[in-house]
Amino acid sequence: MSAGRLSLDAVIDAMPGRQLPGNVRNGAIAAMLAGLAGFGALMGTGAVAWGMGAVLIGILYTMALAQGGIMYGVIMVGTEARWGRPLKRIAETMALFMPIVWVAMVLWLVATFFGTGALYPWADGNIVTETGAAIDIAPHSPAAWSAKPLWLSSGFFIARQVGILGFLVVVDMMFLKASLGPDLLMASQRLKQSNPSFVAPGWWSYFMPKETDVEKAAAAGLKTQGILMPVIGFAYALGFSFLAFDLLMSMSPWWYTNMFGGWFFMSSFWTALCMIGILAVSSRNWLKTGTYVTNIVTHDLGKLVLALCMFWAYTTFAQILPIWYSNMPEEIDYLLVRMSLPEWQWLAKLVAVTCFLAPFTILIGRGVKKMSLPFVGVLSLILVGVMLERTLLVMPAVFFGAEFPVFNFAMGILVWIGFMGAFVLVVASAMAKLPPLPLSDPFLDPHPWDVHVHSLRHHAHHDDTQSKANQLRYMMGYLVGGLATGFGILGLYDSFGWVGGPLNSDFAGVGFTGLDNLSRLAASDWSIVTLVAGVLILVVVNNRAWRDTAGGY
Amino acid sequence: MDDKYREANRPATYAAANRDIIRPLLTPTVMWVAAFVLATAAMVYGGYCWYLQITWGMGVAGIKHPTFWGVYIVTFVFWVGIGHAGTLISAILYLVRSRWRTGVYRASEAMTIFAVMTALLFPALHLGRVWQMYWFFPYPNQRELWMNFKSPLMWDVFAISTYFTISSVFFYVGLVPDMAIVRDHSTGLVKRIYNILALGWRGTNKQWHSYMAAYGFFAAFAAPLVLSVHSVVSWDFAMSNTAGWHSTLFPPYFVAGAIFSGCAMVITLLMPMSYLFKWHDYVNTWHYESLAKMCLLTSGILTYSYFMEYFIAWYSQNPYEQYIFYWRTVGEQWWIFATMVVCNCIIPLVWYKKAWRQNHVILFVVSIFVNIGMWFERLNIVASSTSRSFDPSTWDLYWPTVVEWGILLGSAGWFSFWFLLFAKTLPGVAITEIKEMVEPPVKGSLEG
Repeated sequence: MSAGRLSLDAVIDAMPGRQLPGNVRNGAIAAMLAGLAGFGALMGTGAVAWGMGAVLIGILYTMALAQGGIMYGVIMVGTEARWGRPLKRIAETMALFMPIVWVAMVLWLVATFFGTGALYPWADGNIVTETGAAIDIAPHSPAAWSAKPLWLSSGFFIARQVGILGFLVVVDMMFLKASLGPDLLMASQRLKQSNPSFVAPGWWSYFMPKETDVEKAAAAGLKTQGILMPVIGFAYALGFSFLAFDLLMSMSPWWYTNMFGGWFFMSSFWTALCMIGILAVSSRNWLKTGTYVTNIVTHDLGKLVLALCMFWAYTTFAQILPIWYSNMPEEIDYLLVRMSLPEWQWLAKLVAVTCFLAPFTILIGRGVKKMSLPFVGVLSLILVGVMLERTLLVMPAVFFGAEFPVFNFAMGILVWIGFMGAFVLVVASAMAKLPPLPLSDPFLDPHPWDVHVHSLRHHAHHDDTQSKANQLRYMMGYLVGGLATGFGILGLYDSFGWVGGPLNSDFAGVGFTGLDNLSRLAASDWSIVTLVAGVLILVVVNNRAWRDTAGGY
Repeated sequence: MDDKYREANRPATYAAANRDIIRPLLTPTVMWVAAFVLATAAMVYGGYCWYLQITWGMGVAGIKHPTFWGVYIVTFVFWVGIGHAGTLISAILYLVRSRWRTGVYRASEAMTIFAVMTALLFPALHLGRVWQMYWFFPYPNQRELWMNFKSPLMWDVFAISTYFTISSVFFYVGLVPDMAIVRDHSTGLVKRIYNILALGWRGTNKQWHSYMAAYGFFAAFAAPLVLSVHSVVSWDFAMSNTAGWHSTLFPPYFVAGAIFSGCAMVITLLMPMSYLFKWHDYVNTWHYESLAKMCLLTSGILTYSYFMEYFIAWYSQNPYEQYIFYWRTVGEQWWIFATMVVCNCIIPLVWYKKAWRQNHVILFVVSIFVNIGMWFERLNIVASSTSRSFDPSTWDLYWPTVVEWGILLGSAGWFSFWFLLFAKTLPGVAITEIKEMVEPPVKGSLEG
């Protein structure tokens, strides 16, 4: 073991007696109460479909975080990556919420299919079996779903969700045990050495391997993780795809797109990465992991978040484009409802800004990825964006009013906050008890070839060189600049219309006559001003941040 | 991968790296000459077939109503796909600091450029009237006639020409320091030529600083192109309303397929090259195994995509979608589908066993199967949907003629011709990056 690993002793020594900070516990409980209040308000005012839809969003969201955490560990093992190992344990800890998601899913399925019955139009057995084999692909046709009696039958549907999530819970826990066991062994040996009266908590024995040699146990643990890697990888891709088809796509049973599953599991993983970043950065003082969770690690994580941000935009665009281009009624209506109806269009635009335009323009810069508060700020923006995106998928399928229900929307967000509170409470409580790093993992060390160039000692600082107040200013600068740029770009989209006007004659004056009736609308003035202001803010902030966070691209 | 294995295969010194990688240049061996003659012969035969097609018209090709997209489009997509691995390995793996790319990225980049050059032949071949190729490009004209910008085929022109330009520049930027090494190890006219190609490289601090900044910039610039090019190619199909083609999944599925076939082709090309040039210190099991792992991942994505296409066709209850997938599987040309599945989904599974993905014979043989499977995948997509379109009265089967087979063979000859020239004129492994893996020749440790 290299000299750099000596700092692990400090990490281990800080473990016994560590408690969840009171403000985190109280905040999480308050969030859960707010969520309950929001759900109660929705059900109490008769917005049953919205209420059940909000719970579905909460389940899908926390499921993405929990399973995405394990996927992070799986990918680290599969790629033999070293840069992200310091985050592996925090990511795996998130998976401890999976059993709770499973219970929540079972309760929700029971309530939906045996209680409210509000979300899935095909769930009424009479409709499914009444017309038998009739096939009608016309949108909104009642016969469209009658042709799917097998797949969209309540019993099979419920069995699939319970089975898929159940399988994931089992393999996740096996992976977690293989990863955690050697670390608990190493921690117990170290703690007994420093404090002979130390007694390991009883639950440690469930995870601890029989092997008493740490290196051998770690090798065996890695081997088990390696065996589980393809199993969990395939189960995640297939399982999440079917969860997406079933729980989201079948809300509009005539509609189909075969990328929906892939799109969903990739954005789920993206969300989990954001949560890993937030938890890792905000806990490094508490867990004494600053030597490992350095700003170099967050820089790399930020690049990965940026890559997945681009991937989200790519898969979203790649899904919309062929549907828009082909303009077939059975496909296009799903998009028209969400992107053209005035009551939903603003939400679609907000999703475009919060999921792509703003985070993309912000994360391009280096400084934001190397400073704690700005990094947490942009990751939180993405988390909110994905919540809005899931809302845009679910709610137009269950709410058909002409006026956008602001109250329902606000209460739905409270429900999501409640789920996030429960998630944070469970995961942070576990983080207080578990080794915060994969202590025994040989890949926690830098590669031997790198040591002569980048020794751990040179990495051994997370050095938030900027004060809290300065970081807060940076965060505000990044967020305001990114959002202004995003809204400015989006505004340009609305700045031109086909209603006749000066632009046509402007172009005709220089010899182009093909742009009949193209007109610049009044909205363009504000869009251009907003865009220019946003870009200027980002340029200034990035320029300063570049200077303040020296080192590496 | 065992670090001890990697350690054992590190080059010993800077001088050894220079000597070993430069050694094969400009010294044709019997094997090389034989391969070059064979490639040239195939290329000439392909040219002759093209001459026949120009003389007699498109009737000599098997593309006729209702299947107007045949082997030319299949092979176009195939070669564009092969061209993907190079930029993936050189740009994306550079950005993620993957070490194993060092040994293989130069040859992969060269493969990319020659594969795209080969792919670019096929729109001309498919056009028939090749002398009107310039219609593809926007050029000022008095009648204000423009090509159809709304057509995905036009998007292809821009996507692939951008990809080709950036890949070529990236390839050349990476070559500059190595050109200087070859220059410094040669004399006479050869030295003068490499002196020009090295663009005055002296290896100063300032030059290295600018070089690294430029290289990082090009890598970041090239990385999204890996996604964009084959996505646009996939839209040639997905934008239509044709059953079996109109699929939202096509862009990532095509990209994964392209990386799959590209990585397999790198194994196919580099393994013999490594043996012939005795480059085992630079290109070895570590690299092949890493490429095999990439193939395993992308094979998994392809298998997922094939499965999802079938599932959603069934789920959709769209009778046209259901029929085309049914016909592909059990229709007259079921064996095209079967070859695709066996080669792309089943045979690569042998690489899950570590010993087999480290066995050079198995690696080489499986990589050939992958190449075959990926060509058949494109044939399965391209020829089936139009053979069995909406109106049964128009149904007909497609099968290539001798001319089309000849042109396919010629394209392989054309590709091999350029690759073989590359192998004898430019360093096939990045010498300067290999040196980063060598212990620096300094006393003591930099750690102090």
